[in-house]
Amino acid sequence: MSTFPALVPSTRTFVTGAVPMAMQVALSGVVTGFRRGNRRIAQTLGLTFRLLEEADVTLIRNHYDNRSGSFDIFFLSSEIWNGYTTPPIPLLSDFAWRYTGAPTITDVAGHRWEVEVELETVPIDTGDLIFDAGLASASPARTYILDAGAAAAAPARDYTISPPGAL
Amino acid sequence: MATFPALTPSTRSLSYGDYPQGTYEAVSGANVRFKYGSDRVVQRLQLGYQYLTEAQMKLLLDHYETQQSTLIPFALSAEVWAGYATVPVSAAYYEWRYAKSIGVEIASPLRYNTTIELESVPI
Repeated sequence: MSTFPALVPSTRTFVTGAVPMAMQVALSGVVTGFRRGNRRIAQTLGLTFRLLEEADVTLIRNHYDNRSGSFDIFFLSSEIWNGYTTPPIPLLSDFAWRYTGAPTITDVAGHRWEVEVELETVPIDTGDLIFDAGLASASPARTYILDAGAAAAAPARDYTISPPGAL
Repeated sequence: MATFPALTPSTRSLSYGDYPQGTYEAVSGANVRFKYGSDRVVQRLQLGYQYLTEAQMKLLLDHYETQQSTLIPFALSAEVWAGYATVPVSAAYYEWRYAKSIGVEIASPLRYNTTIELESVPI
């Protein structure tokens, strides 16, 4: 699974999302809430990159294509949270990210571009996410493996995030 | 197929499109996505032209007429991507069509402004 390009954004807007729930309001006005999951959803991160060179624009475009647009998930690079001592969403956690829509690429000064992207978290199953672990014979099969498994690992992994020893 | 007129835009904004997909979302917020294709759709390119002469404006209007407004796809000229070393949307995979009609406003005597919005068509 790829990581978002290591570019420091010019502006960054993080929306914390909410736990999925349904609210029922009785005729009396009494409100009852029903929680439908234990992971926050609709956490969004809006990023603007200003005065990028074409090579950096291409990095973002290629990453977007590599992720099949908003289809596939990824983790963020530490540069995205530049300025935070502790990122509000840890870089490697039980939340991955995906694009909510297409990047917008606007020409600004000569040979410089502004790129806007919006990302959304995707809760991933921690049972499927192994940090710096996981054997080739891991059972049950893991969907997401961090820093584990060789290219020929079996069972086959859908997402291998980092080759062995890189972390 | 008539290529888009060789005019360099004053402003340019590209919305990169997305891959066609369907999403099933559970009440817990977990979701499963199904990818339906391998070409980006709904890519939008907005081109702004300022202070065009009447002859230049007519090139655009005639091209719009030739393409039967939003109906027929066409290729872009290299001038449209002026400034890029590598064109961000390859002509090998995508053509373009008008997304909506062209509006023309007068910028000054005998000069015209217009904004053109195009949408990509996978080929």
